[in-house]
Amino acid sequence: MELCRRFLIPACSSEEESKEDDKQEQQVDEDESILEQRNAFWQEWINKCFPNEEWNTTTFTTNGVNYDAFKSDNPQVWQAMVDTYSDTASANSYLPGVVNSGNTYPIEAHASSGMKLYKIVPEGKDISGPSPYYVTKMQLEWIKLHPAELEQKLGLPLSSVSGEYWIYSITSLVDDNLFFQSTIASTDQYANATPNVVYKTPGGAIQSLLINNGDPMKWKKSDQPDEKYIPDTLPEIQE
Amino acid sequence: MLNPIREKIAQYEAADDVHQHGLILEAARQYLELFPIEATPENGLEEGQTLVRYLQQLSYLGTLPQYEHEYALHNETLALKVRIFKRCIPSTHSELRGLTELLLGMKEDALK
Repeated sequence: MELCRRFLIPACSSEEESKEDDKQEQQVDEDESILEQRNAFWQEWINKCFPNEEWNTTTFTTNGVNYDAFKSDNPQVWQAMVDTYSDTASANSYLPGVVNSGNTYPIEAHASSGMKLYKIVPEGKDISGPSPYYVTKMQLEWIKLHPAELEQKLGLPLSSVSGEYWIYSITSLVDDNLFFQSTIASTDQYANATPNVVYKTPGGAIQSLLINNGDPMKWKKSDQPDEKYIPDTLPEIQE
Repeated sequence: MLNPIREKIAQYEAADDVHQHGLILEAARQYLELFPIEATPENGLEEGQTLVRYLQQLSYLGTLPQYEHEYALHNETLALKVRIFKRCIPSTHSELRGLTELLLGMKEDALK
């Protein structure tokens, strides 16, 4: 049997290489297995909370800082954030939600030319939209060191969870490129039809808010993911 | 004929809540049915401009976490905005209509 096996192995392959191939195959099987488990895990949560995936009938709240208090306590940072919107009406409508996504007041940060920030999106999605939520390289590394907490620390709504994530980068095109940072607030999400089932996250990661990420003079978004990432464990959910 | 559109705009303004964006999208869809070619200063121009302004603001909807990855919603908002904007340009200014498509890099047919 051993002889037959040896004949079947291509002449250029040693036994060590064969073992390496087996290892790789095993790794692929394990990756597929964890991906299947993660997909099943999230599908169960989605089915429980939103049987028909009708997201427009859900209520998602971020338990962050009070917008009026921030505006009153930090008028200069508030004004700098307003100035990054194309018009005041849009700032008035959307900035409260962005500020309330953090449980600390946003602070100013500056990117130098060439600096990259990262966005973690569900498999198959991209970063062409206006979403301002990015993380620094350091935060990304921390998240990858704690894969079970990815969704929880980032405060992801159930419409943004996935078995696999794609990581995109955005690059600053200028020096002194203003953005903002805050700590992600806890979140609650429930279906209006079944308000007794609540999906919660504690938040806790530091988010970098790039409100003007659509400005092509200041930022360049990658159109291909830098990395396709499957956390190697099941998520740990705050019950 | 414009009353249902006006009512939805008024409801959205009274709510002062971007989560009620469905009112503006529905008003915009009705507007396109009502004005398949163009609006005029006497009929529909003011409502068209109001809708364009609100649809522009809705382009930030994806900045809220729960709408981040709702690409169909973002695309529909963009398409409605461009199509209504074109209705607000008189057909006598067809070059401007063409420039609208040029600036966006897409034909109206592709937006439907």
